[in-house]
Amino acid sequence: MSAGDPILQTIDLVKVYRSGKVDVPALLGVDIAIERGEFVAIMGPSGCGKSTLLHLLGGLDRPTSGRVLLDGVDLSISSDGQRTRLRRDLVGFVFQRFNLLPTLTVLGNLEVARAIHSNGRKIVPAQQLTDTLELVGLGSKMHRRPMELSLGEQQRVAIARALIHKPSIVLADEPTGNLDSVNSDNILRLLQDLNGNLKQTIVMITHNPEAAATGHRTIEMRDGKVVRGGAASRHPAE
Amino acid sequence: MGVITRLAASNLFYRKTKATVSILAVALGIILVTVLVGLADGTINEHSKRIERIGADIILQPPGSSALFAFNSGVIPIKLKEKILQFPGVRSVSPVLMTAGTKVKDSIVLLWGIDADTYPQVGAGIKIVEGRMFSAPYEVVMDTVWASSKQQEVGDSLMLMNQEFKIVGIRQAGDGGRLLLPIGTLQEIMSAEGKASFFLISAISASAVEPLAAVLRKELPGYNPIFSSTYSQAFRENAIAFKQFVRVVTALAIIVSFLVILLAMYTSVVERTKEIGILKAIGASRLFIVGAILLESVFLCLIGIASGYGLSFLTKAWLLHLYPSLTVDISWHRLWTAGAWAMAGGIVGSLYPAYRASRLDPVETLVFE
Ligand SMILES: Nc1ncnc2c1ncn2[C@@H]1O[C@H](COP(=O)(O)OP(=O)(O)OP(=O)(O)O)[C@@H](O)[C@H]1O
Ligand SMILES: [Mg+2]
Repeated sequence: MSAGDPILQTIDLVKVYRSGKVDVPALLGVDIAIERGEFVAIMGPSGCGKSTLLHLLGGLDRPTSGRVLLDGVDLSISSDGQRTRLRRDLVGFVFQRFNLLPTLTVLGNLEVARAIHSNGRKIVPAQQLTDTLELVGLGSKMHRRPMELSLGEQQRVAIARALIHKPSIVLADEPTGNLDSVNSDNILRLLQDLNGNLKQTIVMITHNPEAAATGHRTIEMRDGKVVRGGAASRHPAE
Repeated sequence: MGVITRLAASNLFYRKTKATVSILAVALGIILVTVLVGLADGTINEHSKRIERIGADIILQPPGSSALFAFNSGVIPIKLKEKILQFPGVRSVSPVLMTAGTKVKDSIVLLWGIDADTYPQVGAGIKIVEGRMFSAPYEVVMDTVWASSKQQEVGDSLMLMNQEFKIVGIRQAGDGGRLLLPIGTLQEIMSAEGKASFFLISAISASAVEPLAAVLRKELPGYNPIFSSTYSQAFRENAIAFKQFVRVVTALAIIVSFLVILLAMYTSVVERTKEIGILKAIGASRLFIVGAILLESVFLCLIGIASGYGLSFLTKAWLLHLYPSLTVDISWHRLWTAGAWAMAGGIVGSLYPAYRASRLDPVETLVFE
């Protein structure tokens, strides 16, 4: 594929969850394209399908119909194992609810991620873990357990964990949702820096218009559809 | 230590109560095997060693007496003794009649009816330390261990199989039965007149033993002459019931650890759906998840087995304290097999939870609360 192709693209993406006997439509035909190096925000009311879209973009789940192309690979027809490998090597996820492993320290959580990445294409040097923790301002707390941290600190650990292998794509589900404005600004600046310096593609869900404004473009969703900003912006940050 | 090892270990310590219960349950399986089998081993060793130590050259068992304690009842006609004495190389023959385990003073004991005249001729004899050898019916001689554990003295009377006996002597423990009485009296009580359970035979010289055994085998078809020196081994090899017992008990231990680990790991997987989901979301392969769960089970088993080993020895000490006349032999071989099987049971038990964990859908676990 050429460098001009979008790194992430969806074509008529539909996702219907089955909850018991009821069908819950979450995405009703979503077409978006995201260029390499773009920093995109996704906004929309609760329940409109933002998280669902993000999970499909990262190959966590399979669409009901339609296609998801990640770096040219069609995730909708990839096997579980293939999607797992792509996710491991290319994607860093930050979840809406930061799911850290409670029994390990901050550093331990990052080490597990490192162990997982070491099965793949990227060997993460140990130094990278402490460097990343310094980057998110947690250098002094790496031997604490998640329970001993504030929500904002836990979220920053989750972010650090998503970044250690320098993924080409960072998918973040409300990374600033639990943070005060100071911490939130720090995280947003961090994402901006990563995007600017490492040319990482960033897709971030947020409810906060100011946070959304740090990106190049905002995709607006409503009731399982994109209502604005779905097409790639012509000039991602260079 | 690798982080995955630490993850498994920390998960265990994080849920202390559950881990402790699982570990104790695995340990229980181990204790079950080592102590029960040790008890059986001990009893068998002890019994056969006692026969060995009498010092006869050959023990002649009746036909079909391969199973454990099959010579309980008298089946050899005493008359046979005269015939055997005609064989070349025989020095002396002494019949022994033995009861099945009989309850005396709250413990099970084998009563030995012996012939006071010939018994000393086939072996080292009986060393009386107090009182005298029996010389009349319904007299009994006990050994020093029994005397001290049951606190019996010379002159006491003792009920054996509903008959009153008089204790006339105490002898040095080590060989033969703990309680010796005249074979005639025991035949009468057991209604086994003219019968013996086995013969103790001694040869004129060491080199005459093997030829004698060959003659016995030829002249008394079906009878089973066993060299005293290999008695324990032969006894054990022929003890089919004993082998089955060991298998059953070992199977129990396997089942216990299988179920315990299955349950423990299954509940762990259910409790940790989210954490497993996050590992998968980060890119952990199924194999990685399976490995992490297996590792945790291996830890549980290892700690359980180690505790089981320790507790087995404690249990043994406690049992011997309560019942000094018991013999419990805990061998490395038995410990090793019990541990290996418990581990195998545990690993098999963790396969299903591990499989379930590896199949968890990360989205289900992450999105929906
Ligand atoms: N695993 C699931 N099973 C069934 N229904 C689901 C599942 N996950 C999400 N849904 C439903 O799909 C719809 C979209 O959910 P989604 O989580 O994508 O919304 P969202 O835009 O991220 O909302 P929020 O801003 O509250 O996080 C909702 O109606 C939700 O109830
Ligand atoms: Mg959401």
